[in-house]
Amino acid sequence: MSHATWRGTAFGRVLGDPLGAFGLALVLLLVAGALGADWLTPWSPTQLNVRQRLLPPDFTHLLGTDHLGRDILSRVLHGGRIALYVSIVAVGAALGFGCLLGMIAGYGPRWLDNALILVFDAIRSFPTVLFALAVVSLVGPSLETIIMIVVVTTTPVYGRIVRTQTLSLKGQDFILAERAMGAGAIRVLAQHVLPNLIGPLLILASMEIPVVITIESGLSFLGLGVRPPTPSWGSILNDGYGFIRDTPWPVIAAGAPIVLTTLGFTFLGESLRDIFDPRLQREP
Amino acid sequence: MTDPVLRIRDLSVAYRSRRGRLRALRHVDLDVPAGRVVGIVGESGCGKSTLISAILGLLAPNAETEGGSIAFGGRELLTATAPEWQAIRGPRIAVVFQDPMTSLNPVLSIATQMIDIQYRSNEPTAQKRQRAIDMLTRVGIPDAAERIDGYAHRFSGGMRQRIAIAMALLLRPALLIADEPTTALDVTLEAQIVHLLKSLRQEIDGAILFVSHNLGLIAEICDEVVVMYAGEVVERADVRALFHHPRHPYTRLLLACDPARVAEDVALLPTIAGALPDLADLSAGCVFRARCPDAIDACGIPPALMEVAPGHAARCVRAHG
Amino acid sequence: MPRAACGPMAELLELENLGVRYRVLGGWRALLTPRAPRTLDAVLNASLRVAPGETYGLVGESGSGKTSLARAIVGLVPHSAGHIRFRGHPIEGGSDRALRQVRREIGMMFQDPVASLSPRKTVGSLIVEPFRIHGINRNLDTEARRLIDMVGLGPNYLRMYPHQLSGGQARRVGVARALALNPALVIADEPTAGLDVSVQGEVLNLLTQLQAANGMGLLVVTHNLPVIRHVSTRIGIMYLGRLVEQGPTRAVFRSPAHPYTAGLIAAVPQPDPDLRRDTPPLEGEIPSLRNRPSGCEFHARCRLAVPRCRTEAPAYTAIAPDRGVACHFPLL
Repeated sequence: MSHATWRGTAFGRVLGDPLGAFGLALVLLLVAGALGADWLTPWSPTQLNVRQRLLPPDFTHLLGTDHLGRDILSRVLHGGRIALYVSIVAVGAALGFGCLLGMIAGYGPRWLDNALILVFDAIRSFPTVLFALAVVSLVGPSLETIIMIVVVTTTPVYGRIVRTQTLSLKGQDFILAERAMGAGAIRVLAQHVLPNLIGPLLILASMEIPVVITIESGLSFLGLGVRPPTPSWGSILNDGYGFIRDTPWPVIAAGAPIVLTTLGFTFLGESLRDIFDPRLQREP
Repeated sequence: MTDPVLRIRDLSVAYRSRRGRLRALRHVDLDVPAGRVVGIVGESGCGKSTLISAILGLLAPNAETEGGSIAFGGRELLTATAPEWQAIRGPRIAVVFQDPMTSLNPVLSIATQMIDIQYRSNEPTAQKRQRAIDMLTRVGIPDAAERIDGYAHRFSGGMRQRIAIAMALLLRPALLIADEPTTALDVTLEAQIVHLLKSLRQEIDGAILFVSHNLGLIAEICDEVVVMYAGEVVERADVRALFHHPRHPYTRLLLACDPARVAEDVALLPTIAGALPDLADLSAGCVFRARCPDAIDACGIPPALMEVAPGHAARCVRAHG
Repeated sequence: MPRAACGPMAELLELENLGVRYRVLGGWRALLTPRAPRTLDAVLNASLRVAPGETYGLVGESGSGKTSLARAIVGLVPHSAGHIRFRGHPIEGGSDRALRQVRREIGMMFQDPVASLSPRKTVGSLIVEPFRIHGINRNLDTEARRLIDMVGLGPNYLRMYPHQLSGGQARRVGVARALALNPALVIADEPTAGLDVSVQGEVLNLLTQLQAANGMGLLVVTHNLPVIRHVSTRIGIMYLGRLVEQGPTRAVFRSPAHPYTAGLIAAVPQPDPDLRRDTPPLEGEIPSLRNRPSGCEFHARCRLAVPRCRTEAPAYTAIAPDRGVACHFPLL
């Protein structure tokens, strides 16, 4: 198989795997919903209509309305936009910092490794939720706070993985061979270490996205995340929760996307993991 | 003459792959008579590993037996069921692999493992332990009575291979398959292990199937030799006949390539030009034709494995002309 | 084109009493086992010379320190004692940056041909890696074609990935890369490991032919005695990190001076059923580096050992022009 067709076939092979195709469909649905939130529904996510509170789904409001009469579909779509934004920015930044610090720890001198590991472990030893609560109460709830909390708490996860991978790659023959040819640390790391760990890491990151979405929803559910009236799946869930005796629709409408997003990213990630590694492309 | 311990007839195995069927073994005949050491020699891609897996009933899931039979002590192995295999693999057919760590469990002591494999016997544990110690002593483990309680990682590579041999022979199998048993070892240890196998063959009443790519080892230990190339048996002979009067061109070239046989002042080593044929797309005729210096038009017809002298067969039209 | 040596020395590579010491237990673990040795000497007092255009065979079993020695030359492991001189200039250990120039002039081939190629790069990119590393501005496509052609592979291989190559093909790619910058010295660690007999010859012949064309020095590290006998002009035998015997290849094979050399040569199985041996030529195994025997470190396995061998370590002494041995009672 030549390199030129590789990307095309990787996509093709995701579609060929039933779970991968299902995962990809869910993810695309989420992305399309988030990007097209303004066009997919005529309703504004924040427009109040007190006379149409807690309506069940009908052809006007496809998912019904909440306790303030806002269109739930619109809120869910806009909530997805927030969820995606937070998770992609946070996971991306954590991945970047994690790679950088992890490779420095794994490839650099021993004392630097020990120092970085100490920092990583110190951060990891805070319980995430308590850490989040503490930070939110200090700087106040906002989107940026959530992203900052996620980046700080997950960077060490990637950092440790990257460090372990770097350490094991460092002793391998092809890295020795590069050094024996005179390659310096930056070249070795950028050209030969990073490409060999980024694949599994991207897959891990794609599986981390639903976790971040859950954190964002969780904090918003507790009122510590996105400020009202901006919609978030967590706050929709929380709003609906108070009226669960009157109508189940808000809870279903906000709970289902969380579950489906988790499934979608996980299936897609697993399918990609099987495909991404060129060593698995070998003929049997 | 009694029946051979292992009798393989017309065995063909293919692997399903994206490129089509890889015909890894084609019409393989092989006899391993009791009390004999039969060597299988061939380079990578010759089908040795597939053959061993077939004998052990451990073919990969994408492998398909296309035909033939493997009779072991009169029993057909190709149709054996899982419980039947349990009674055969280990007690009746034992294997020593290239890497002894594949047959030794790293978290159990040697004693535990060697007593465990005697689970079919009703003897008291002390007796089983003593048998294990005796066997370890026999294969040259010093202070076996104490060291038997150690773990595999405590032993050097050579000692581990001795232990693997002791475990394989503990149940007195009728057939011992030695699959490249010394490839991972240094040359001085290799000589010791081969010497050990040679001395043990007097004591075990079974037969040994010795698989190697090393011609020197084959010459050292085997009574009969089977040369494989691209999934076929191309020559089969008594060890002396094979090394002194090879009849198949591949055997001749292979022997010529061995640096131990090349004259000292030769600067450039001989090689076999060309590459293995594609097992998914075999052309008609002799599989070695494209690389053979002696090929003639008649090689376009698939040659049969025919006797060229008593007990000496070659798959080459020119060998019996 | 043989390069002129710098200074009065005609030697290309010179090792003088080289030592390589590894730290085995560090940090808090060392406190728990105070009596365990903290260091291992993988190479001890090794002195050897490689002349331009010559092939030197460094022979030893696993654990003999031959790979450590080879890697110490290009600074992949730091040496703890002695001197390395390359074309008359000392190579001091240090950072990758300090060793850059030396590494440009010494090509290195690693034991595992596939594992020593970066798995996500194409062959075409791998063989011009030396040009990129050293910022040499040339048409890399032309160079890639020249190199792949030099090692006898077609240009279609340039687009392949390492895992798509056979052992022999990967080895050729390794040769192309080691020779890309026309080095004065090539170090080949087990160039025949894992190759079929019919392919071993191809790789060695390729090296020999390229050497005849470029006049580079070749240091071949191997345990394969039959092969080294054909390709090398001089050999050195290592045991437990020490060079126990050195000399012209033919002379050493014809009349080994050290009992270990003799045992090693006799241990090679002969592809002739009429030459079977009744006893293995060497008993026992190489002792652990953690637990070096006293006196001559070979005494426990030596059939000729006398009490003196147990207590007194033999010095490496010259026994003939260009031959030396570390044994109290050389077989010559």
